[in-house]
Amino acid sequence: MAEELSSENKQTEDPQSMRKRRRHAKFYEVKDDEPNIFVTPLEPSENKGEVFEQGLDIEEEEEEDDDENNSSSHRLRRFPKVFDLRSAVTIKDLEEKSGKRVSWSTFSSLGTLGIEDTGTAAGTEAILSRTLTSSSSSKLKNKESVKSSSDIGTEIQREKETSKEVEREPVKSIMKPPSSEQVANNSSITPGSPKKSSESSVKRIVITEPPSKKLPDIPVQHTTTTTTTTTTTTSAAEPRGSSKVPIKNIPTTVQKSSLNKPLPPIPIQDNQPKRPPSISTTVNSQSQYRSFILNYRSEDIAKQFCLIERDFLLKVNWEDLVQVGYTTNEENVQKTDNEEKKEKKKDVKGKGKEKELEEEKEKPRKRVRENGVDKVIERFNLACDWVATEIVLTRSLDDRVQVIEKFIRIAQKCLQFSNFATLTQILLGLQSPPVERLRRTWTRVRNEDLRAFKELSEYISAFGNWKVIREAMRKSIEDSTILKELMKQRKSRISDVRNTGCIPFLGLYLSDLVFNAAVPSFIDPTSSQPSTPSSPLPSSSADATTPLHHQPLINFHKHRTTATIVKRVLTFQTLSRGYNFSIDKEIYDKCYGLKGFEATKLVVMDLDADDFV
Amino acid sequence: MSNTSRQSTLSSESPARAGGEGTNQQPNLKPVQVKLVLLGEAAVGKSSLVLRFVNNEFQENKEPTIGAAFLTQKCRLEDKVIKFEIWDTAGQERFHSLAPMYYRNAQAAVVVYDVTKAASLDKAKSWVKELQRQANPNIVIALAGNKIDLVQPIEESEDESTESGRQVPTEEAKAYANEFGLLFFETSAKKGDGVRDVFTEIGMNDLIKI
Repeated sequence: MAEELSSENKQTEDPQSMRKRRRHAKFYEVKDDEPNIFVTPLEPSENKGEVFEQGLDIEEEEEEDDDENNSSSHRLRRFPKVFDLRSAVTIKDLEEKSGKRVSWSTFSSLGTLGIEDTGTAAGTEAILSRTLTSSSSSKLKNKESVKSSSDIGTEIQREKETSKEVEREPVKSIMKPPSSEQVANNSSITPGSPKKSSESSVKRIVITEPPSKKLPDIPVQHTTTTTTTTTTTTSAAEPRGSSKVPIKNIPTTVQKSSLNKPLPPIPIQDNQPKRPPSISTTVNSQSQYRSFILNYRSEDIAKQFCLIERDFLLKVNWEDLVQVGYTTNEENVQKTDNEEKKEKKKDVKGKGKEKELEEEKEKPRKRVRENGVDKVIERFNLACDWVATEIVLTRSLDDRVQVIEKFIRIAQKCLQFSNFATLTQILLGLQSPPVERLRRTWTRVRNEDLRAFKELSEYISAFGNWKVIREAMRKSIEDSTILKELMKQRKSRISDVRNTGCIPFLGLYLSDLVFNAAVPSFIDPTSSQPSTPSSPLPSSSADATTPLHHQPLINFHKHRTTATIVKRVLTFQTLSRGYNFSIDKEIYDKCYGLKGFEATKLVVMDLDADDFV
Repeated sequence: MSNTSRQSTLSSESPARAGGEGTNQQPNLKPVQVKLVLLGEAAVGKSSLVLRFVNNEFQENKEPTIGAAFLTQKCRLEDKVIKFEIWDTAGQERFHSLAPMYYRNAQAAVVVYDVTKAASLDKAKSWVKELQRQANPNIVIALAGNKIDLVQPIEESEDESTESGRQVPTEEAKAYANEFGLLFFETSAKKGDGVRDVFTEIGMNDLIKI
């Protein structure tokens, strides 16, 4: 194991993460000897020895961590408990029944269980989180919680690469709300372990089940896992949608449960509200959080974001857009109905036409729910939260400054690539309350980057009806069109040199559509003025008894406007195909599977973050 | 294309309005700029409220600019002229991250709900909470229950009772507003009832200073 780990570590680019890994590896190895850990019987696993090692590692880690981290004291306190657990479980059982992985995870889980005070035991949590993350990451890739040692190693490598994932996951797991049905499973918990603590830990981990709203695309795993018990269920029942690897070894023990629990990488949201305090502790304990964006070139990251946003944009179809003004809220439909009804009452003639039109609109409105527009919005919110989360979770001041600078540079690249979606996401994330408050951090950001940020911020100013970004988007459409034509003429390579790609900030157009929808669909013929919102249909209908020319006029301008806006978006869709970047799977996946806490939850942490350094 | 036309319309609007106002304006009174943000659940009538306010002031009957998320309106009060910069979040309610940008540095906020929809008041409350936590501490917040026309008897259709009942009693909302120190109004953007009052009272608030 150790060898594998170390080798894997070498692969990682980041020295810090490498160090971390190595440490872990050591721990794992050392502890192999320990005999009694938890044990739950039942599932045979091939890699028994490894499991033990892992468990040992955990202990050592704690010690080392103590040196490095403040939270070490917490960990020390808990040790005894862990031992208790171990005593309860026999090593043999572990060896026999659980696979290596299982044991590893089990260890972590045991440690958690042992901890009585979740709030105070930051160190333990951190440890758990690490283990969880590793396990979770592995889970992500492998469906089954139980993996062979080799699997673990590979997983570890992955984890190393994505250091951010690892760290985040722990937090998530911690944050997860304690109460879960799964807890019930704990009953099987080995004697000696404090039930309460175990339950709480378990719950946290387990909670991930509910799919996170933010990461819709990632399959949520239902790890019902459970907890600690020996029997747990490995049942495998936990189907993870995404799991690539079939379950090889299913260790029933608690370990499994722990593994499973951590798996869900994404579901941060669900957990947060319930335990903010634990969050902060967790965060504190993880001093090593390092955003993956620091590991790649800004340009490379920006390119992948372009591709991702393009894919989201292409999911939008024009029918969704046409209905935006009416669909934004289901209530909307009702509202219009009510209004129309009233109008109808007043005016028979007017009513009839309106009714028909309205009904036609309403039907489609109702059936549209999960459409491309929703996905774009979801993605947008997630990305904004992610930006803030990456910054706030970075504990070290220096690193945090780096992350901010990096984001600014990525935003610049996005602007260069005419990717206004990611541009706005990053800028909004940087301006979000949790990040904006980090005064000390901002004072250390290089002037050059600050200046750039200030300039970029113009793009997300709503002043003048989003004048700056509108102009920029219009221009990029023109440029792209020109470029395209040039390319056609020369039939070559400009495409290689420059991208014609272009992605809008869709929110603008949605806003336009909604606003336009507020304009009346009919015009009072008696008024020489074009329709104003204030001139309601009813008045026009009142005149209805009169001849034809007194009947309400269809407000063509409104509908033309709608068409114009929709066509604009369609143009962007076409242009968005103009990116000639190739997918870098590694970065793409990371940029796609973003995780983030909502700002409200980050606020709790951000203070810590700034205080901490 | 459409953008440009929109922008030009927008920009042309402001001067026109300013001219219209000019008659009322005392030469020595400099308009006070007040950034005002409109928040509330989708479809409660935020845009209609603004459009009513802006259009009523001048009988221009100008066609509303599309996407005019940013409108300005001057308002003359007893001793001062206020120029409202109105930031309408309509259509972007679900872009959570945008809200802070809208209410940052805002001196006033109008949180709108729909009196015929109880859920919209809940959303309004959450906006109030967020504003009081994160926005400018001196922000003036007005709570506006819109669509009272739907719960008022309609003269033209006396024979029929109103279609949708009120779901938010005035007293309840008012009590809430008092508790949290909000200005409170009930409005009908459709008929214009109470719309003007919202902006006038905000302008008269002591917190809005020159």
